[in-house]
Amino acid sequence: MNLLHLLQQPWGWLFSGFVIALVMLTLLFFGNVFGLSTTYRTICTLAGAGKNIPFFKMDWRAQRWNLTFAAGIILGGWIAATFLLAKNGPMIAPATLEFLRNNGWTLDPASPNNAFLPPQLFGEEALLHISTWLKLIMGGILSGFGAQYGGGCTSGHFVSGLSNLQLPSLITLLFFFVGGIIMSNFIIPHLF
Amino acid sequence: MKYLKYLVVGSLFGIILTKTEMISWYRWQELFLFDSFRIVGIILSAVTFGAIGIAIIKKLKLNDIYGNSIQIEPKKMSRYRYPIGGFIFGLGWALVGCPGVHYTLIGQGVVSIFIVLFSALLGTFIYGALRTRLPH
Repeated sequence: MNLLHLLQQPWGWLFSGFVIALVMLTLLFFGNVFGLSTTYRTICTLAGAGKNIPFFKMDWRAQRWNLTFAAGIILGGWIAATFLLAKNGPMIAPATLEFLRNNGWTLDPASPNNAFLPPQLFGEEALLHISTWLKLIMGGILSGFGAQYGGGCTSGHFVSGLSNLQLPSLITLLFFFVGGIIMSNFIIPHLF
Repeated sequence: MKYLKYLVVGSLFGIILTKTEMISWYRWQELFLFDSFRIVGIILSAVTFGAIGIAIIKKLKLNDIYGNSIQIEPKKMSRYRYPIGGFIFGLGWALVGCPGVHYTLIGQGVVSIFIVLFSALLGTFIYGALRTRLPH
């Protein structure tokens, strides 16, 4: 009971980074390198994309561990959402919420427990609008394409790569920030 | 049984992504609007502890559980792919997040994430199809 209560508390950034590093190091001891964008490539291969495209002619069996890891993440997401959420959700900076509200985003009054995502973009009712689909599809394509082109995503570059002091990962991180800053400051304000 | 450990560590990572609030869309906006230090702090912390761990592994020449030496193949240096790919990935990340986040949110029953996931797979496919024509 007490342990559950303890796990439900919000985590600070220092501890958060520490446990993420532990996951990366644990996978190294299993003989694997932490990097989730490879699972996207593997799923494309499994779907048959390797017939015509050399990029997907890979040994998907060597990635079975990663697909299992991804399945675990899905399970962990469910466990966390069901048992481990804090009573009060993320306390988002008032300036961020104000910026979004001033630009047409209808947000929850506070940012309560389960609202990790804005209903306007991710809610089920929003799916009645074709424009929502277009926004989600645009974001997904950019995220998927960019991760493959850049040779890695958050886990592969910004955790594994930077921890291994790799210059390519630092370059990717810098330009990742440029892209993110443009999206949040200049595109997201005009989506609604 | 060989794969059970990945399921366990994966579950822990799904819990971690939730508890660190890395799956919060609002946190991503805070990051890129420079309204909060949190995600920058998390990345700095992860990299610091990660780098210390990898330095120890290399110094002591530690092996993995199967007795093989632990190696991280360095990413090949290249002129175009990291700036352009990183930039495009940042655009997408700020709007719909990254693979780890997608898997976590699927576990939380967010239906619209399936659209994001399929689109990300489509983006992956488009890269694979155009790969030879893109500057790397």
